[in-house]
Amino acid sequence: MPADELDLEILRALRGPDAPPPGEARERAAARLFAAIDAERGPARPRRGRGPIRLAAVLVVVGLAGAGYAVFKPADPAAGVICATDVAETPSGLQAPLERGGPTATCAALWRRGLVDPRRRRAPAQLTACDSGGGAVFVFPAGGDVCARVGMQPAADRTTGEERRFIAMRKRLVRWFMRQGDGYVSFARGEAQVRRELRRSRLVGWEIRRGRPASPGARPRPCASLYFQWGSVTLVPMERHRGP
Amino acid sequence: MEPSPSDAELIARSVAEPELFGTIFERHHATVHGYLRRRLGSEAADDLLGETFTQALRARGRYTPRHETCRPWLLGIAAHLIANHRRGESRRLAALQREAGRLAFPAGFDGLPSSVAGELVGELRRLAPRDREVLLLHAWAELGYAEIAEALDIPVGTVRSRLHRAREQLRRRLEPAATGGCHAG
Repeated sequence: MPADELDLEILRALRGPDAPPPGEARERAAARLFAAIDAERGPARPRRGRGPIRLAAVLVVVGLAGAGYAVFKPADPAAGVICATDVAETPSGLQAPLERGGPTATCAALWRRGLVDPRRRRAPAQLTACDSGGGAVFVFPAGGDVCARVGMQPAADRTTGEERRFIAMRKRLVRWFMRQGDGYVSFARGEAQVRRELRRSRLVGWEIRRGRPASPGARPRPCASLYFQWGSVTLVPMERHRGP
Repeated sequence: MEPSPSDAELIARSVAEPELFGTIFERHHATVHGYLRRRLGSEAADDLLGETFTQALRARGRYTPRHETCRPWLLGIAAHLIANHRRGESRRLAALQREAGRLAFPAGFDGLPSSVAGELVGELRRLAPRDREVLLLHAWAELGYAEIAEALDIPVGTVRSRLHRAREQLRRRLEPAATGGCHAG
């Protein structure tokens, strides 16, 4: 190694290992992006005859063996579905919020929009929902015994009334947050809105949590963004940023 | 098998179909988060990841592809956000300086004193912010000169001169260590 590269080599060593962002951070970022997409188009604008655009709150491609998925509780509807592009125990895929039609209907719509695989805009002939026991439901582009082949159990391909109320509430809340100063909302206002929505949605016993506190010495972060788990809505601290 | 669309193609299509910007997020969010984390720490990186892509979404109509990947463009947006967090970066570098003594040097540099990395980070803190930005886009984000020029919207010649200046400053700090830690005279 040439000595005149020493400065760069030490800097590179200081860079540390590459690691994907934690699952929660990734989901929050994706939710923010897709809420901005939704806000840009407007919630009621027709989209080339396909009806009103749906709020795609979270779309994340995942390395599904990633540690982030170990933290999900089994069959958590708030963890959404993972539309896999291949049949494997650790497939590639797109994570998306569960829609009221159930896991395979959710993924079929995303396939048709070219969001699961930009190279094709049609849903696979067969889609099967499987439960990995890790929270999110996997939807594979295959039929038959695909769940057994990848070591999972068949998952229910429908949503309950409570889940449908949650799905509707999540869409309303994300949309409301994005309309309030571009997604920057004070904790008090955010908490009040979440409380109203939980009541309206008849989701009894749900908690409203505050995200992890800022690290010691960090500036207080006055704004809140949302993070959903089944049974709780977390207001996560964030700072306001301005564009370039 | 049909090849995946390029970043430029996806961004162009996303002007009419914004959901396609999700694929840009899929492809690059880990890289952008990694750079933000190295510069500002995990907490700020978690916050700024979404902001980077949201700003990119808004700016996509002005995107002019100059490379196969849009990574430089995204990292340029991240760099702009980092510039608003000087205090956060200062704290991060101070922490890195403290940790640097435990750094495992790459093979071939076993003889260096453990204090070298800390001294180098100290010098990094003293660099002019715009010189530090160029240096770290090169060393931490692995961008080439032309890519850095795209990221920061500056001429390639300016990239070269800033990088040269920054590395000269660091090398001056390293010279005594690299020659055995002894000053002449």
